[in-house]
Amino acid sequence: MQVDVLSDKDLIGQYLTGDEASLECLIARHKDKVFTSILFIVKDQALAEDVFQDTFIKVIDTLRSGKYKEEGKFLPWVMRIGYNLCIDHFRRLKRAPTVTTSEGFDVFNLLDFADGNAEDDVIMDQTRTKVRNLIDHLPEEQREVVILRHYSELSFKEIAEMTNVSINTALGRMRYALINMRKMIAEKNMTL
Amino acid sequence: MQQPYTQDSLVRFLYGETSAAETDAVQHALDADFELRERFELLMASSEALNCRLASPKSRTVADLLRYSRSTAPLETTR
Repeated sequence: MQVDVLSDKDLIGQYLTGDEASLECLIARHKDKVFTSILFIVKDQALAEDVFQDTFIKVIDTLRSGKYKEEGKFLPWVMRIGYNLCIDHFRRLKRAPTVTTSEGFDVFNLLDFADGNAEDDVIMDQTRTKVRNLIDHLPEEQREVVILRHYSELSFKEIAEMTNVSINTALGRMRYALINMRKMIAEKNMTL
Repeated sequence: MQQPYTQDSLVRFLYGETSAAETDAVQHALDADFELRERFELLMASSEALNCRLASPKSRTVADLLRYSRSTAPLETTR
């Protein structure tokens, strides 16, 4: 059976019967969204790799323990685990994730980007740098919503639940983030 | 006249999270209100500015996860 056409729920079911290929498919399906979101939060490639790995180890352990109850909502569940691990990390360090910007350190130069060719890479390098600058300069609570909505593709309802705010607050933060980005683009006369 | 949408409706509309009825209402409002349409287009432009290729974890990281899964699989269900 081709596992890549199965739903997340079906893949989880098959994985729990011992089909390791189903886990491989689940990870392949969601890894870029999860990893990009974690990376944008922690802003460090090595740390993002660690948090990503810890996230999926927790996913594997929880699935095997039979405690996973969120059928049909696999990605939000995974992202909640990843997000909480990011928060735990910053709590341990006792510093906020966006106190400093990544000026002088281009995290995007360190990334593995899938499915690119040389010509695409040149264009994407410029775009990534601009996107990074935009996101880095947003207030933390706005940056958080942007990352979770735009890159993790969580709904505003899911983001609200994950970050313990109302949906209206999450929506308002996104709206202000988009407005602020527009101002930055205009002030810096950026072409994206 | 009471507006059938809020500012936040525009954001939900932008990200495809409005109900069918709300989508119609927002679309109608955008068609009828030039200033609202301008505001929406600015939001849309900002959202589009965020588009970039997603980053991937290193293949070694993924391989380590799959190895972890295989090594911790219950013996009776391992294929």
